[in-house]
Amino acid sequence: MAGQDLILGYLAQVRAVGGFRRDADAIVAELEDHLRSGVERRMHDGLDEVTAQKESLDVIGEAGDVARELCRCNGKGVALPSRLSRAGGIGALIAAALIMVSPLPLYAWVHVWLAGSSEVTAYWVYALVLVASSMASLIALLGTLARAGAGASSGAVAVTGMAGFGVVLTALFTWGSLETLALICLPFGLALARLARITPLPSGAWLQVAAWPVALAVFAALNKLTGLGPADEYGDHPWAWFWGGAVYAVLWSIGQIALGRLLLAERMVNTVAPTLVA
Amino acid sequence: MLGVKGSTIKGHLDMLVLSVLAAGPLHGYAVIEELKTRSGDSFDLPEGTIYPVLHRLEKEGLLASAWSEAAGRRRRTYTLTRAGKRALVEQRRAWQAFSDAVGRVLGGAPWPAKI
Repeated sequence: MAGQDLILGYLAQVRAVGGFRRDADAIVAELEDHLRSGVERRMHDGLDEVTAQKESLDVIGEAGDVARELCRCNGKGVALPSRLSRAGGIGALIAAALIMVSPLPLYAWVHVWLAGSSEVTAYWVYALVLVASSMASLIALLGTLARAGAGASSGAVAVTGMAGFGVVLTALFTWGSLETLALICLPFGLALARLARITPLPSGAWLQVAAWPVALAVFAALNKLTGLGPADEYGDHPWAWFWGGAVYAVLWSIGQIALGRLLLAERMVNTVAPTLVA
Repeated sequence: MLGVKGSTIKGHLDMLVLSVLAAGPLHGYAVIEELKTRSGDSFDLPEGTIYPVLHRLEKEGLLASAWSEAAGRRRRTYTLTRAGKRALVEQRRAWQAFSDAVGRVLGGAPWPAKI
């Protein structure tokens, strides 16, 4: 056994689970100091190094359990990749794909609208795509909260409820979606802020938070300031709505792709294989 | 020697850790050693469970930590903050009241047979 360091093996197991935390290095350093202190004390008491290492490891607790406890957030959820966070990643990618095609039926609907036709197929297709995308984003939100260790905290329930309400309003009032989508953007902002405290986020992920205010600003500028294209009977400019929706679709899809890739790239940890570092 | 299970201690671990750190700054291993010494080796607690407690207490502002170098490795030392001292006084008072009440119940006279 001479030359083998059981403690390095243990720390590698902790890192395999707790490495998803921003402060994983500090945690591992702290545990190493703990274990080495224990070894030194036992060797001072007369044990050989390997026996001292084994005893120190016996009393600290199983590496996976220790790491999971360290990833637990305020006694609630565990901030680790899970089935739910992976499902959230898939949801985010589906949401991105759906929202990316949404400008097409919106474009068709604006043409129909300005022609004064009563044909509403394009409108319903747009509504369907937007709601389906929002529902997929809802799953992405649940996955993000799970990954951030929010568990079933009151905050997690509140932001999920807000986003769910946003999906319902978007379904009912698709023509006002540039307002109702705020109820989906804001919860994502809160969820991402929480996740960013645990793991580094790709900067693109924040674009989904910016999607709503930027899209609304584009709509407002083109509708009120420049008056893009012909106005409808209410004095609004449908092309302003189109460009607002298109900007939202682009920013939201970039953000969801970044988030989806992050959630899917992380390996789910259920068991940690024992390792021995020579 | 009476071995007290980790699950029994868990509810009181905050107070125990604050109490140990009231004597002065310590690193995690020293906190565990001090807990064992003071309890006469009665606490059967996986040593790793102390760190989530230390981190949480620091997050709550009851402890502060600082990194230093010791024996050629990084060491994190915890200190009781002013808020931690106040919390310890409060928890000691609550524990004393609870302990007195339990003592009275356990040591009380048998049910009086009033007629």
